[in-house]
Amino acid sequence: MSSFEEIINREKAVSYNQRDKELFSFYTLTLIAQEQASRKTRRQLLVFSVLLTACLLMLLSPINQVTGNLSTYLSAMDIVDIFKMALVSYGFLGLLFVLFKSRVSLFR
Amino acid sequence: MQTDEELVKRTLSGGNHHYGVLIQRYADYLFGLGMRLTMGNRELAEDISQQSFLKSYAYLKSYDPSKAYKHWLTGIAVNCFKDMIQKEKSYTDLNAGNEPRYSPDLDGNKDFFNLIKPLTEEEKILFTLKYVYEYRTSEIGNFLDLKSGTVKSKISRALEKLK
Repeated sequence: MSSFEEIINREKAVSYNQRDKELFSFYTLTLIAQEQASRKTRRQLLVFSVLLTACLLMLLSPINQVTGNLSTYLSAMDIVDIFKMALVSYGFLGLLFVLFKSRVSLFR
Repeated sequence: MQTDEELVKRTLSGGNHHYGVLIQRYADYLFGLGMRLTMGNRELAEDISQQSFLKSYAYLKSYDPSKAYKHWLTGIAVNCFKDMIQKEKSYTDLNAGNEPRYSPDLDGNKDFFNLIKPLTEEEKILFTLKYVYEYRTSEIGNFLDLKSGTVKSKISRALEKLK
């Protein structure tokens, strides 16, 4: 039986090598990409289901009541309010445009 | 040659292929560590190294560049090993078997596996990191989330077992 230090020193000298480092790296990166893609899909599905639910709720609610409320709301508004609303809407649209330009994705 | 910290930075800024360089750089190191901890089980060692790289990628944002990437990765690998032995009952069955299942490049290292056989899994980690990789007790403490004094006492208990 070799001495303790001898065994340790011999073990230190051993080099262990992966069978195929390039393949291992490629496979690990593939797993990472797969995980990222599945996470992205899950997020997209979540957003889509929320939007779908919202749309369905809108469609299923009594349409006359919705249009009635809308016309009452619009008739009660004056021209200044309409301009303000337009300004906010276009401002929001502009902001979205800038975000998309700088490649900030909602799903990232 | 790019440093590890540069590669991490580039990976975080969207270049996954830079992470491939890190994988290739440390594949053998993690595999070797896995081989020693699993007492020569090639499949488990490969699993440990792969899981370590996957976890390292997942938590790459939390990596502190003021510390060595290799040390950070070692901590992840050691914890992967601990998780794996908790999950894999087959490992204990395999551990009960006598001989390591691989043929290494150099002779004589079966002695090492025989040497550490009486140790618990945690003691194997501590012993290997201390005597084969020559990490300081404070560094080992960081890897395993233990105090330096605890590491020292556990190592001395392991040494007692080996005498």
